[in-house]
Amino acid sequence: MPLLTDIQLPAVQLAAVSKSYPSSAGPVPVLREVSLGFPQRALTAVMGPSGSGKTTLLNCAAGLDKPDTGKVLLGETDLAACGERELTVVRRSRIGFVFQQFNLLPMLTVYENVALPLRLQRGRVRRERVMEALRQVGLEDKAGRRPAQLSGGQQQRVAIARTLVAEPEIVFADEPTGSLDRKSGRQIMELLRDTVDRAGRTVAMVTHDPAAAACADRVVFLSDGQVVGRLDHPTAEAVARQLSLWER
Amino acid sequence: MWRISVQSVRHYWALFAGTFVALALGVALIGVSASALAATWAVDATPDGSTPSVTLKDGTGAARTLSSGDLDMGGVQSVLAMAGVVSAFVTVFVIAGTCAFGIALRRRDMGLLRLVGAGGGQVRRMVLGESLAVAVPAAVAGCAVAAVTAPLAVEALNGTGLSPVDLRPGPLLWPLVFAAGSGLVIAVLGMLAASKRAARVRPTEALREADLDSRTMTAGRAVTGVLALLGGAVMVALAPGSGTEAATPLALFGTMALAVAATLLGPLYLPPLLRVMALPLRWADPVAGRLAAESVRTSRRRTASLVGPVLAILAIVGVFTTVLSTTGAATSADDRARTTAQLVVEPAGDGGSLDREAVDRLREDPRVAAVSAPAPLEIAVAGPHSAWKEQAALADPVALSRTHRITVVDGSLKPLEPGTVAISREFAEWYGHRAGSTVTYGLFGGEPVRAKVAAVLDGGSAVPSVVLPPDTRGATPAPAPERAAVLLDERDAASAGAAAARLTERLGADRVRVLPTETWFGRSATDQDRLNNLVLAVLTVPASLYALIAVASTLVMSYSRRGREITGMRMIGVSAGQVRRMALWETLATTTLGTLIAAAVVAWGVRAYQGSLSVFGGGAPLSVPWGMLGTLVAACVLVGVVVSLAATGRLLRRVSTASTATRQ
Repeated sequence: MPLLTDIQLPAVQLAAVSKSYPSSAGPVPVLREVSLGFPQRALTAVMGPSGSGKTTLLNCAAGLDKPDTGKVLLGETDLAACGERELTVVRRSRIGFVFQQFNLLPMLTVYENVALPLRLQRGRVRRERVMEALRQVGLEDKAGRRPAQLSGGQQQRVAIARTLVAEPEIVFADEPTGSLDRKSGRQIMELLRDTVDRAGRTVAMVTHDPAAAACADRVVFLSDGQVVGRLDHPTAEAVARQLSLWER
Repeated sequence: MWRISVQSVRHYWALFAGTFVALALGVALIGVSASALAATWAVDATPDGSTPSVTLKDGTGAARTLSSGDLDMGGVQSVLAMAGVVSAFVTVFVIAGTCAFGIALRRRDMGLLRLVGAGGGQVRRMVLGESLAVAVPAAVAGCAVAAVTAPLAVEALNGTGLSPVDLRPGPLLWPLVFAAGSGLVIAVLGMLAASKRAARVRPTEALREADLDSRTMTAGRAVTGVLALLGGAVMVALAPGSGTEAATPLALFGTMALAVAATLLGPLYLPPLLRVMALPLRWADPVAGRLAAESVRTSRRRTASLVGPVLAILAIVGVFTTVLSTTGAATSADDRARTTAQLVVEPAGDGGSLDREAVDRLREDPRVAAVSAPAPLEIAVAGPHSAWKEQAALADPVALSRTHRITVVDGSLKPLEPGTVAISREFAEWYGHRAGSTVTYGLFGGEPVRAKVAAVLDGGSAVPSVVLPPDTRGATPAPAPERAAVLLDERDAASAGAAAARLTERLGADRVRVLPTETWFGRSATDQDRLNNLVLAVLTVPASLYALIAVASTLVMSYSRRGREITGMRMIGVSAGQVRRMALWETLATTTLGTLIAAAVVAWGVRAYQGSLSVFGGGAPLSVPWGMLGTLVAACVLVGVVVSLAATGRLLRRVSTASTATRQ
C-alpha cells in the first residue's frame, strides 16, 4: 500500500465547490464549499448518509454536473469551465466510470463494450489489448457474450476492464458494490484495488458499505454537503465506528 | 460508429421491426402508385393519326393540334397521384413517429455512450447509421413487394374502369428507383430529427432508473407545430371564399397540415384531454382502469406514438373521402334543385342517343311546354398560352333556361345566332371571359372558329362550359342528345306519371323510356356512387392497410420495453386478467383519442370546404361516408386490441416462466 501524504499530487482537485438544486421552496444547497483532492495512484472512498451529497460530489468531480461556484481541476483542466465538447473529449480519454448498474451498452458484446472507448477515440482497436483487459478481470472466455447474459458482478468487471483499456487519469465509481452479493462485491473491490496497486490508476469511489471503504487508502466523510472527517488506511471497524459517530 | 449501429439494430430488432415494416410497405405503396402512373404515361395518348383533329392558334400565335381520339388520362392519373400523396403522407408520419419513439426508448443507451465519451456528432452518426441499416433492406424489400404487386394493381385498376383504356404494366425500373429513393429520403429525414434529440441526451441520463418522459415539448417541435397550425388554418380559412377548383386542394392540404400540427402540439393538449378520459376509466374499472389511465398519462411519448398513426390515417382518409362524397352530393343536390322539367326522356337501350326526329315529336306534343336536349361534344379551345379540350353542347339556351333554373350572369338570353356562344359562369371566371369577348374554338375535323360570347350562364352542371348554337354543323361524329328534359304545361304538370305514359306511347316504348325526373335522378345517382366508391377504394384501401400495420408495429415496439413494468405489477399482486384489461383500456383510450382528434381536424377542414360549394337555392349538403370511416375506426380498434392483448400475453407468460425459474 503506497504511503499517502497530502504532498502527493491530486489527480482531481475540488476547490470550494458549491452546488444547489432548485426546488419549490427555493434552492436547496447540496454541496457547501467543498475542497477535496483525490490523490494520484490511490483509492479514495467517499462516505456519508443518504442525501449528504456523495453522488453530487462525484458527478461534479467527473464533470457530469456543473458546480455553481468553485473549481474542479483535472490536471490543468478546470472541468467547471469546460464546454460540452471539451467535456466529451475529457470523458473519452481521461475519465473512466464504473456504476452500480447500467454500465454497459446492451446491444454490444462484452468485447465491443470494452473496445468502445478506443473506437470513440478513433484509434485502432488491438484485439490483444482488449483481451488482456478482459483477462485481468477474469472474463476472457465471456468476450462474445451480451451484457444481459452476465451476472451483475460480471457486468461490473466488464466496466472495470473498459477503464483498463482506456487508461484514464481517474476512475469514478458510484456504489460499485451496491447491487452485488458479498462475494462479488469483494471481487470487485479487489479488482479496483489491483488497478491502483498494479496498474497505478487513481480511483474515486462513493459507497456506504464499510467493507468496501476499508479497501480504500483514504475515506472521506461527507455530511450535509460538507467534508466532516477523513480516515487514512482505514479498517472496516474504524469506518463503522466513525460512521456511527457522525450519525449520532 | 457504423459497427455499433448495426449491432444496435440487431439487438433492438423489435424496435426497428416497426420502422422496417412501415418503411418497406411505404416503399411498396409508393412503388405501386408510381408504376401504375408510369403505365398511364406509357399509354399512347394519340393512338393513330386517323381520328379527326383540329389545329388552333393560341394567344402567342403557336399552332396547337388536338385530336378527338386523344385519350384523357388526366382523371386516372390524378387519382393515382392522390393515392401516392396519401401513401407518402402516411409513410412520413409513421416513420417520423417510430424513429422518435425508438430513440426515446433508448435514452439510457445514448446517455451511456455519452458517458464513455461519445460526442454529440458520434451519437448522431450512430443513429443515422441505424436508420440506413434499416432503410436499405426495407427499401429493397419494399421494391420486391412492389415488383410483385404492381402488375396485379394495374390489373385491378383496369377492373375498376377508371382508365379509358386498359393499362399494361409498364417498366418497373424507374418507378422502383423512385420509390426506393423516396423511402431512403423519408427514413433519413425521419431519423434526422430524432438524431438531434439523441445527440442532446446528457450523460447523466444513463444513471437514471426510469425512462422519464421529460420535456416532450421542444422548441423546434413547438415552432413547427405552430407553423403547421397557422398554415393549415389559413388554407382552410381561405377555402370557402375561393372557387370550387381552388377549394379542393386548400381543404385537403389545409387539413393535412392541421393533422401534422395536432400531432406535433400533442404534448400541449393531450395531458388535460387524458385527464378527462381517465375519469370514466377509473369509474368503470377501479384497478385496471386506473393503471391504464396513469400509464397513458405518464408515458406521454408512448401515448403520442400510439395516437399518431390512428390520427394520421383517419384524418387523411376522412378528409379525402368526405370531400369527394360532399362534392358528389353537392353536384347532385344542385342538379335536382335546378331542374324544373318533370320528365326525362332517354333512349330505350342503354347508352344510345335520341334522334332528332324523336326530339321534334316531343316538341310537337301539345302538353309539352319546353324541351331541352343538349347534344354533348368535345371541342378544342385556344387560350393565351395553350389549347385544351372542353366539354361543350349544341343547345338552345332559351329552352335550357325553361327546363332548368339558370341565371344569366352577363349578356342576354336569346337564341344563339351563328358565330356566337354562351359560356358557363365557371368557364368565364376561370379564363376571364365576359359577354362580348371572343372565344376561339374548333370542332374536331373542322376549322378554328372565333365566336362572340352572347351570354354567361350560371346553371351548374346543366350548362356545359361552352354552349354552341343548335344548328352548328361540322363535328364528326355528329353530336346527338343523350336525353331530353321535358317541361309539361301547367295543366299536365301535376300528373307527370300519366304524361310520361302518354309520351311513351306517342314515341314508342321500343325507342324511348320516359321517366319522372325524381326517378331518373335516383338511377343516375347510384351509377355515380359506384364510381365514387371505386375512386375512394383506390385512394384509401392500400394506405389504410398500411396504417393498420403501422398501428400494430408501434404497439409491438412499445410492449417490447414493458417487460419489467409488467413483471413488477405481477409481483405486487396485480392479476394477469387485470394486466390484460389494463392493456385493453390503454389501447381503447389511445385509439379513441386519435379518432377524436382526427374527427375534429376533418370537421374543421370539411366544414370550410362545404362553405366553398354552392348549391342552387340553399347550402351544400355535407356527405360523410360513415360506413367506410366507421369500418376504418373499427379496424384500428380491432388491430390495436388484438396486438396489445397478444403482446401482453407474451409478456405475462415470460413473467410466469421467470418466476418459476427463480423458485427453482
